[in-house]
Amino acid sequence: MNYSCWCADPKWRQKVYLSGVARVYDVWNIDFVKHKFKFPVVMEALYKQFGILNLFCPFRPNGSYLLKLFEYEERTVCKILCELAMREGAAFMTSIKVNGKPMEKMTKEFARKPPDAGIIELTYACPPDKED
Amino acid sequence: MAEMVLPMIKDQHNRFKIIEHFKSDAQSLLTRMHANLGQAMFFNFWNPSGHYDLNLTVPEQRAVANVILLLNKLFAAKVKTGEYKDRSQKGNASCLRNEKVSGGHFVWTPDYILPKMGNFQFDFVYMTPNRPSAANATPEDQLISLMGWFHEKYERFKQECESANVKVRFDADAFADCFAAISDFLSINTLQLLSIMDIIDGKSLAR
Repeated sequence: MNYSCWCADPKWRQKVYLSGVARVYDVWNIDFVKHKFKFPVVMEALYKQFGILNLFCPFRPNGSYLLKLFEYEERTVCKILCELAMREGAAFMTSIKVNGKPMEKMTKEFARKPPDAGIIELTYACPPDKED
Repeated sequence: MAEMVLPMIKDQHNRFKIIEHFKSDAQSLLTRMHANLGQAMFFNFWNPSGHYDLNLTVPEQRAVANVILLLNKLFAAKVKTGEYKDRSQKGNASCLRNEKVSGGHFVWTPDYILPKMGNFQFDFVYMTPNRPSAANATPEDQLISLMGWFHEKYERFKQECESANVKVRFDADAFADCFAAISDFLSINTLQLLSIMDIIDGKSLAR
């Protein structure tokens, strides 16, 4: 018998995470949960429930992003990423597309004030030897 | 009587001691109370983070909704003074997310007043106040015995189903509610939390 199918509903795990995360003292590691939920649907639900601002770790920003700039929290993450790119190196931010249009590289103007409409796609990859 | 008294108890963390006085009827009493109180039964004032679906016509559930709105209002005031950062969903300094009343979305503001009826659904992510520290971390042995308790309940359920040759869905939500109700006593690290999330999958008790 496959017992795991009894608990296929991942909501209870999100509930445990949500109540447990407030009791975690190493808050800088709470984004590790991203490795726990492998299915995109579950990840999406986690982001919706918990929020990207609570899951995003500026110490581990590497990854591909699709951010809605009209949403406050996603725009804030975009701003953090842009500022990181400005400080660490604009070359770390690649495959930038704003509303589907490719952007050659991140500019200071954009980083200072990202637009509050549209969608941005980007990949942030800081090489391990450059990480603090 | 117990149902009426339970939400009024000041030291909420000791509230289930009342049930202990009804040893023979404890099970049926708990079931009935859960049916009446719903989420209000497990509400943890000291760690209120979680997903809520509250019936505003039930006084106990309404009281929980009001407490959460009060906490949220205090939090928003502290964001305004700069004590806390705004990590809200909509830039309104709120810890409420995906809030809905009777199925309709709305954006919380500090002067929001709850309607008299309907269902109030939301996620409450209340991270900043009462943060635990590594200095008062829950001892490893206590955490293992807590995980062992949850693990044992799950394993016993599996065995009972296996011996009766029936397939019943494990009520993992009850497990999560139970964990939320005692979570304010814990001070753990992220890996320990992730281990707790693994218990029901039948994985071994990871440290």
